[in-house]
Amino acid sequence: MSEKNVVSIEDRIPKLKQERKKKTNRRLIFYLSLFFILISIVVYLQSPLSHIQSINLSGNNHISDEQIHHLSDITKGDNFWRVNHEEVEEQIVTHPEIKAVQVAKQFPTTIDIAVEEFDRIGYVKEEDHYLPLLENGKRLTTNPVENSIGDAPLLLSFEQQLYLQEMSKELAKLPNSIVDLISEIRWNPTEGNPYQIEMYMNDGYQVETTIRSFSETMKTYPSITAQLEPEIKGVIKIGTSGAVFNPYESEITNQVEETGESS
Amino acid sequence: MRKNKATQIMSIVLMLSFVAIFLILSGRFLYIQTTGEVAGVSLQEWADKTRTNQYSLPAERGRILDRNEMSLVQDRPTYKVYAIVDETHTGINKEPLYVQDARQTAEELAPLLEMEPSDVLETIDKGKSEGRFQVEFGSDGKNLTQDIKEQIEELELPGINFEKDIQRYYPNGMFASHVLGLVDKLDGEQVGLTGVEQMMNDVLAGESGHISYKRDKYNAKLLQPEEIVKEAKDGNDVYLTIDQKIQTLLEDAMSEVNEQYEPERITAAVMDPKTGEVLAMSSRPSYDPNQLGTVENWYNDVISTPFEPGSTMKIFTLAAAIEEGEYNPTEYFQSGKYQISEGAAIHDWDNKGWGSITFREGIQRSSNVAAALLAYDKVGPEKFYEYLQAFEFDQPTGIDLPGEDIGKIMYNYKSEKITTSYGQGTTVTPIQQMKALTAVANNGEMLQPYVIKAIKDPNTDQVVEEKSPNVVGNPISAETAKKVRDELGTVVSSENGTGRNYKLDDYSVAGKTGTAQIPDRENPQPYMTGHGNYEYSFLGMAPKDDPQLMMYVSVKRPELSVHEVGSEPVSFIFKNVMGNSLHYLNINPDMEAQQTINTYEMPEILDKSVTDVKTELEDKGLRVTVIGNGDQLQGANVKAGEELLPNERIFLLTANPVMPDLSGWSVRDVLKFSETIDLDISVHGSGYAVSQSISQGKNIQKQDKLTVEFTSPNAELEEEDPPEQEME
Repeated sequence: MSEKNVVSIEDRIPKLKQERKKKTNRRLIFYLSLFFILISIVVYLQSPLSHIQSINLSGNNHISDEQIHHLSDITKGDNFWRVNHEEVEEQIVTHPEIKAVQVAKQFPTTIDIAVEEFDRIGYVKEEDHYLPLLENGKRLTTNPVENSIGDAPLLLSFEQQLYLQEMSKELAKLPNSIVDLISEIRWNPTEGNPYQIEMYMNDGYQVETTIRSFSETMKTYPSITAQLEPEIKGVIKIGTSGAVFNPYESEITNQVEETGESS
Repeated sequence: MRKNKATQIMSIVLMLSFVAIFLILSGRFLYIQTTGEVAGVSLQEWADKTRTNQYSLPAERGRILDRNEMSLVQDRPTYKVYAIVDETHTGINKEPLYVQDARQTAEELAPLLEMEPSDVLETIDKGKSEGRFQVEFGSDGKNLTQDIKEQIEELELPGINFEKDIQRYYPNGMFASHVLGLVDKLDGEQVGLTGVEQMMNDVLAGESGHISYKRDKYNAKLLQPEEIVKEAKDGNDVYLTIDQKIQTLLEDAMSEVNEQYEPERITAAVMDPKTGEVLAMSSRPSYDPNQLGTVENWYNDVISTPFEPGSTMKIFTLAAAIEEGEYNPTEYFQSGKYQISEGAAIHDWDNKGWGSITFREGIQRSSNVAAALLAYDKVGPEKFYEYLQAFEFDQPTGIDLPGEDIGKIMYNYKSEKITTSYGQGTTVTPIQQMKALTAVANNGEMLQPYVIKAIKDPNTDQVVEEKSPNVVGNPISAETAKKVRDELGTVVSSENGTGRNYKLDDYSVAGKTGTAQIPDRENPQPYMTGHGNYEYSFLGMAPKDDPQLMMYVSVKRPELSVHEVGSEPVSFIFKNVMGNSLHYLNINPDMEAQQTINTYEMPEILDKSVTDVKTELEDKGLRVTVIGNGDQLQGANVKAGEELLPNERIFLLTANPVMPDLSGWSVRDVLKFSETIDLDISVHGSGYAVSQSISQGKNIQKQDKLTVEFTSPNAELEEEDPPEQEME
């Protein structure tokens, strides 16, 4: 049609050439950079830069570091990227004494493991060793402790699991400052009340109460003892309705009279 | 010819009669056309009516909700069941639409209607024999719930049909019944009769609409139906200040007291003193609005029944005296008797009195003489009357509920002026006392009580109207209010206080008890006598220093056994509702502070002087054992910052540890001790230590072997049960 659209082939060829060159250059740069990136990834993965250098543990009081390391199955030198933190958490949580765990990666080479242990709310005496009782009511049968048992009361004569369960629930609810006052708790069921317990307190009083609403009634313990004269020791009976204190002397006379009558 | 003539006449007659008939008919047509009326009926209107379908569109009545949007009253569909017994009633394909097998229908239907199958059968058979089209089943077949209706439908009984109706439904049953009120059906429309239903009837009812369109003979719409739709405007929802949880607590406590003591009347209300919002209000006798049987009492006693309140009134006497500067809590007066005039005297409830006591004790013991002295001799009767007016005992509270009544201040004679000071003679309603008490609870500002919090459009959820607290007076100063609360606090906390029974475990209470004498209508003796023949009440608030809730409870003539005191049912309701409500509202307990006051934080001790730390800790009531004889501390069994309670045993470690005397120590203390030193311990027995294998004063080192024997403090007496616990 018009002359404008007619361009001679000589005019077009050099431009085409130029264009093609540009394209080839760009492609080369792209492939080269891809190649180098892959190489550097391989180098990084092979070098110690990608290896775990340190594992930080926190929150474990009763469980040793080794045990957790063993459970986590992570060792120094492992590949940082190969650690699947969900998997590790699942493995660690299988430990009966661990309540929760959080595994976090800290780039480039650190793994943080924060565990939360179940509180030990007591120690149950079985045969000649002490088994820790956890706040969830479980008794640890696997690792009896020999010595470090001053941090929770001793539970004695709890022959039926049910009552031990109830007891541990109540103990978990009681504030720590009051749990610290209890030395020993003995299950002492009577015919009328299978929930009856007897306690020896660190401050020398003997307490009789029941497992039911234990956590509520025992909260009043400090205010009860505050009213007593510290020199006179005896048995405090605490119930939901109030507390009664019987000094030992009078109880001795009472009991003597009773035994005298029965014999 | 003759014949011709006759023919002619006949044809004229015939023609005339035709003309006449024609004129009559055309005249009638003309008349109808011009007037458009036949026998006084406008044809235009009649035509429109016959070819127009018109229905009314009823508006849905609004709900009543509590402050947390829990529904308290709502509409609910109910169903009436009926059975078609006409055997000609069939469907298009001749399938039966009537009861075919009467016996089977009766047997399947009866249990769902809670009827006897024989009765159902009888009803159906009777309908059949009388040739009726359908039968109904009386009250048992009415007011069926959606659930029952669906169950019946599942039986697929032919001829059993339902008619839908709308009923007001109260999901909580007997629950603030007098506050919520009732509705009645008038011309198919629900109209509020009492309570909020009546008060807010216009808001709740909404406007019903209608729809109309032109139709043909077969009820199909015409091509130009000229449809007119006026949509119904549903009623708005009314939100109350009532809190469903607190109201439920109150209802439960009242029902329990009602059952146990069978009193003549109980009234109670809970209010937020900072806003005047009523959180709960109820009275007994009450009723379940879903099942109206015989209703003993239609009155909302809290607002409509004035009576002589008794000693709760002394709160305001006290407030007036403090405001006037006439109250000296440590001043003494002679209790027991107050001489009004020669030959007339009033007495304390304990006629002997308590000798010469202070005014504070007088208030604690609820002395009438103290109140009389304060009101009449100190403040003065005129001034005191001004205070009664300032507390607005002479006017209604203006609460937004229908049927409020007010009492009467009896103030003509000297004796009346005196008895008013302790709440006899003069009558007031509970809500008047609550309103006056807001001034005490809310630092002098008296608030109007109210029940309706907001009105919302249920479709758009927009607030149409909202109420806010309304300060209606300032009878006393903030300072006086605080002093009154402190004095009232001692009524509850003091050994002598008449309010001893109203103590809460976790919160401090300020309040005043009342034991009002009840006028006896039949007896010439002005007041009833005898155990339980009083109206026992309590007006109080908690926590004392910053009241979050206030409450009034009164129980009239409970049936008490000889050893029960009248305050027992009242305090049961008060403690239950107040304590639980405060906890529910997450109010910080102010009483526990006294218990934890004793705890003590372990200080930093490292490298400090042994004697300094020891005396410091012993001052706090701790039992300190120093292990070793060094001067500088090297550690302890407790970390710094840990909480300690008195009587706990603390070990302070110094250089050169030596064995302490363990006798009397508990097992756990000994274990702690051995852990602190790291000894190899073995425990024998349980209870408290009696002997130790390493004697006192010997040097000890890590891993030394220590055996300690323990025994129960009364072991000698428990020989059959020797606590043999051994561990190696």
